[in-house]
Order: sequence, then structure tokens, then C-alpha cells
Amino acid sequence: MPALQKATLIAGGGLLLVLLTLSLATGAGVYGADAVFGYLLGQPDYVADDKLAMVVDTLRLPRTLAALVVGASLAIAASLLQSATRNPLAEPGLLGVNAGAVLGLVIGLIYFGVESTRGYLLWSGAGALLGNLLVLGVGLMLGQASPLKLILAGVALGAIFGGLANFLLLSTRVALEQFRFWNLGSLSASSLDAVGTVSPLAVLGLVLATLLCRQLTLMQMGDSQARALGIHTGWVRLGVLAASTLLTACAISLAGPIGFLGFLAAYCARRIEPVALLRQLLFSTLFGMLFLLAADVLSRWLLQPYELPVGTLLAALGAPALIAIVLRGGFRSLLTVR
Amino acid sequence: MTSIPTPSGVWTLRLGGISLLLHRRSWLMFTLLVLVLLGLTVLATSLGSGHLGVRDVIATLTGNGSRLQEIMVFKIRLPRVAAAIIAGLAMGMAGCLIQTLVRNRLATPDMIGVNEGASLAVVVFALYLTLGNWPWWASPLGAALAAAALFALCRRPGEQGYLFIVIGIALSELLGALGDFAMSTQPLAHLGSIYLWTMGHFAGVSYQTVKPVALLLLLLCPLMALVNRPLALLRFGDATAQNLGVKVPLVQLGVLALAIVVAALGTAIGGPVVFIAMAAPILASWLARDNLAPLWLSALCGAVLLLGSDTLVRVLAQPEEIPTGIMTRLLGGILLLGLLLKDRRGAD
Repeated sequence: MPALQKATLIAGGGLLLVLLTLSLATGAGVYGADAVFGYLLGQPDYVADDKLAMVVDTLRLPRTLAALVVGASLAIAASLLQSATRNPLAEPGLLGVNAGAVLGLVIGLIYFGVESTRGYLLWSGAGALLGNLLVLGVGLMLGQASPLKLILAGVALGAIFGGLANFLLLSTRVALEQFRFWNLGSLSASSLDAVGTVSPLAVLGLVLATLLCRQLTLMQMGDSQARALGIHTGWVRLGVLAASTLLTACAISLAGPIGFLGFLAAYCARRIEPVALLRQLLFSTLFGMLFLLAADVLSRWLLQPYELPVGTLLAALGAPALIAIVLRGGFRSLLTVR
Repeated sequence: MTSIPTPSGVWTLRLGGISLLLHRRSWLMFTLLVLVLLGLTVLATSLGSGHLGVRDVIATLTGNGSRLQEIMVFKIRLPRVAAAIIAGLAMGMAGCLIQTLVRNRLATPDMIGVNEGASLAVVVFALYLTLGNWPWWASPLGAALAAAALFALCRRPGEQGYLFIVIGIALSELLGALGDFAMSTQPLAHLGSIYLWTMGHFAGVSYQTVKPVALLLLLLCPLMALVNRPLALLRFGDATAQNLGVKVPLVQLGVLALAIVVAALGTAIGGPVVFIAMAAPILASWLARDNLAPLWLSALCGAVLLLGSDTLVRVLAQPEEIPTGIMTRLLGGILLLGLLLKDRRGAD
């Protein structure tokens, strides 16, 4: 492993610990890091404090864990989509997959009265599958020469899905008020139960992604080359479809649609490791968790006592980053394997 | 003296020493669109709660209706129809101006963040700096700021193709996120109509906003007529246009400023109704069989499309009220996808 990657890994790991502490130590309630860690480590003084138990168990801990799961899921999904479409700007939010998942969830909410985390997972998964299928299909039709056009196709798909979802919501007026906040993307409503239900599936998605790494790395040379090396490109694509659908559904059902996060994490990971996908996934996961944790801590801290939805904050930070990257043309140099 | 042959497909109008060439197909289509618009107006006026047939509407419009019918038509139904028409005209014109200027079919005020800027300004003024009435006048302010930011980032939008659009999309995402946040600080009941307005909504508009906007648009019309001809020459490229006597930078700046103001005025009435500004010039250029969308035709197409979408959404969503912008978003998304797939061989 080159020195830069080692340094990034160590620094990133350290930063992750710092952010975890910060995330556990900030928020409603007067408790600082010492109290929270005392409670988590089972010190009798702190365990006896009911209020502290409530704050940690229902507010801070689920939120922190959810940030880790959602950040990792979105980042891995984005890395997979970027490799499969050979497009360094791809990610679930920008390509309209998130909007598809939201549409699925809205249909579940309105017509099937879904209320459990499992139901959310199922319906948002179905929507994400539809979105992924359409995006990958359009991507194949457009060809790899047009990374910018795929973004526009994502805008089009997002408009169609979003239009349908809003039409259904407003024509039935079910759960409009909750949906309005949920649709901005926020971690504030996460619970330990939900995190527990979602995490195994996210891990499954991660395992599937690591299994696909070697084949996807070789497929970056082009389909015919990869086939000559004995790779069943169709099966690999199917695997990418499954993994990214699963991961997107996990993220959506915990936090709502969060855009730009996957793109940023996967982009940074690609800058550090341009070729080998397994390492790229490692860095992408690390960055995804770091960015979302940092954004979530910021969102709690910036406008006290109000809370900024973390999806809004990430859009406000991610959009300028996208502009800068697109303007520099940096995404083109990443298309070719060095 | 040999006479110059007139091009085909053109009517010649001679008044003494002056002769005017009228593009036959454009004028036919213009008349056709006006008729369609009139028909839609009557249809849209007759739809809704309370019985009012097409015949009653025509009778009322010609001054033979009962008192009740007059109130229904002139006080309740017609303001909405007029608002949709005026906003559609403005959007069609703004879309045509920017598309022609940037030489890109996808460069329209709703894609590149101008409309988002306009609606953000209105939301901020309406929520935090309440000054009595509906702050429709804030929208040109926000639109101009958004456009200034965009053109500071992209110096030569005519040569950047999809890059320009993607940057515009990122900008509109940013502005949209800010608008969402501004609204999320208030409960839905408190927001009232603003929430629906930000999606493009025409229910409950009154003449109070329609009138000043229509008046301003009318005042801008001579300017647009003035700019129409040099704008058509710009499509041959800056150098050729310069040789043909067009003051290129001046025209570009003027057209841009005009387009932004017109787009903002279109947004001011019913909110950012997306994709109308993209679809109208495309439809107009298809109708005129001309690559360059004629400005007036495009304006009429905008009005027909917007009024048509508004009527459609009213019929489909009865008895609920759904923002018109949601219907145009759905249809426009399909249009955009079709355009991209059609242009699949072209690189970025």
C-alpha cells in the first residue's frame, strides 16, 4: 500500500473516532462525552441515571450508528454504480435511484399502510430496483462516452419519479407532513430497532460488493477485454444491480433520500486509489461514514436549537463540490485507467 | 431591372416602397395555436365544481350570462386561466431566448437554476421579510442573482454544451436545498400556499399578481421584437454575426437580461412550473419546421402547454388540488429522457 493511502487510512480512522465521540457528546440534553462513555462502559454511577439512559439509547446512539450505516451504504452503492457505468459522476442521488426508492416508499405508505422498518425496506427496495434498472439501461443505451448526459438522464428519471410520488401524496393527503421532513433526508428519527433491522442487510450488500470487486476492476478495461479474461459481464452487472439496490434501500429506509454523499465519498476514494476496486471500496466506506457523521454533527450544532436536515446540508455542500469538479474537468481523467 | 425571386413558403406584403416577407407556415401555425388557446380557455373555464357548461361559458363571455355565472366565470375561473396563459407566454419566451442564446435545447431557466433562484427569493421574502402582499416582485431579484452566479462560473456557455447544463443543475440543487430548508423551519399549516406555490400552483391566484406581471410583460414586448432579428443571426456563430453588423456582446447581454426578467415574471405568478420553458421552443420549432424556434410561436406554445397541463391536472386530481408543476415535471421528465436518447450518438 502506498504511503499516501496508509496515511489516509490512519488519519481517517483517527478522525472517525473523534467524530464518533463528538456525535455522542452533542445534541439535546446536557450530557458530555464523559457521561455518555461512562454509561456505555457500564459505570454504575452513570447507569443509574435514567435521563442519561434515555438520551443515549433513544437519541444519540441510534443516530450515530445510523450515520455509520447510511454513510457506508451510500458510498459503496455510489462506488459500484461508478464502476458499472464507468462514469465518475454516478451515485444513487444524482441518477434518480433515490427518487425511485422514495416513490416505492410512498406507494407502500399510501396503498399498503406500511409502518415497520421492514416494510420501508421492502418498498424502498422495490423502488430502488426500478430506478437502478432504468438508470443502468439508459446508461447502456447512452454508451460510456457521455458521463454528463447520464446525469441529465438521472435528472429526467428523478423528475418522473418525483412527479409521480408528489402526485400520489398530494392527491391522497396521507402523511404529507411527515413525508415533507423525511424527504429532506435526516437522521434525527432513527431508532436502535431500525438500525438493528437494517444493518444485517447493509452488511450483506457490503459482502456482495467485495465479491464483485475483482471482476469489476477488470471490466474497467472494457467489456470485450473482460469477457476474453473469462468474466461473465452480464452476471457481474446483475450483482451490481442487486448490491446497489440493497444498499440504497438500506440508506433510504433509515434516513430518507440523501444526495451527493455517495458521489463525494466515491470521488475522493477514486482520487486516492484509481484502479483496484477493493481498496477503493475501503476508502469510499471510510469517507462515506466520515462525511455523514461530520455533516450530522454540524447539522445539530449549526442552528441550535433548530436542526438543519442533514440531506439539505449535504446538498448545500455537495452541489458546489460537483460544480468545482465538473468545471475542472477532473472527471474525464478518471475515466481512463492509468 | 431583374426582380429577385421570392423564397418559397413565404407571403410577400408590399406597402409602397416597403415589402415584408411573412413566413407562411409560421403564420398558419400562429393562427392555429391562437384558436387552440381560445378553445382551451373555454374548456378550462367550464371545468370545476358547480355546473357550468361550455355553452354557458361562451354566453357569459359574450355578456349574456346570469349574475351567478358572471361571478363564477370572471371572479373564480378566469383569473386562474389568465394566470396560466400569462405565465406560459413568459416561460415560452424566456426558454426560447436562452436556448437560442446558448445554442442548446436543454438550456432553459428551469434547468439552470434561474427559476429556483426566483422562487427562493420569493419564499425568503414571504416567510421572513413579510411586507404585506405577495412578494412577486422579489423573483427577478433572485433570478438575476442565480444567473449572475451561473455566468460567473461558465464564461462561454455556447461552447460548453452539457457541461453548462450540469453546472446549472448543480446550482439549482443548491438553491432548491436552501428553499427546502427555509420552508422546513415552519409547520405546514403556517406555510399555507407557499409550499404548493414552490411546486408551481395556480389555484387561488388573483388578478392582483396577474395584472402587474402582464403589464410588465407587455412593456418588454417591443424590446423582444427589437432583439429578435440579431438573435436569429447569432446562430451562425459570433464571428459571422459580427460581420453581419450585430453588436455581439451587447446583444448577448441584452438578451440574457431580458430572458432572466421574463423568466422571473413567469415564475412570479404561479411558481416555478418546470419544463414548460424547455418544451415550448421545441414544439414551436417542430411546428414551424425550422431549427430556430420563432419567439412568438414559442410563447404561444408555452401558453398552450401550461394551460393544457393545468386543465389536465384539474381533471385528473378532482376533487383535490394538485400543483400544476407536478404534472409538467412528470411529462417534462419523459420529454427530457426522450431527447437524451435521441441525441445518443452525440458526445458531451
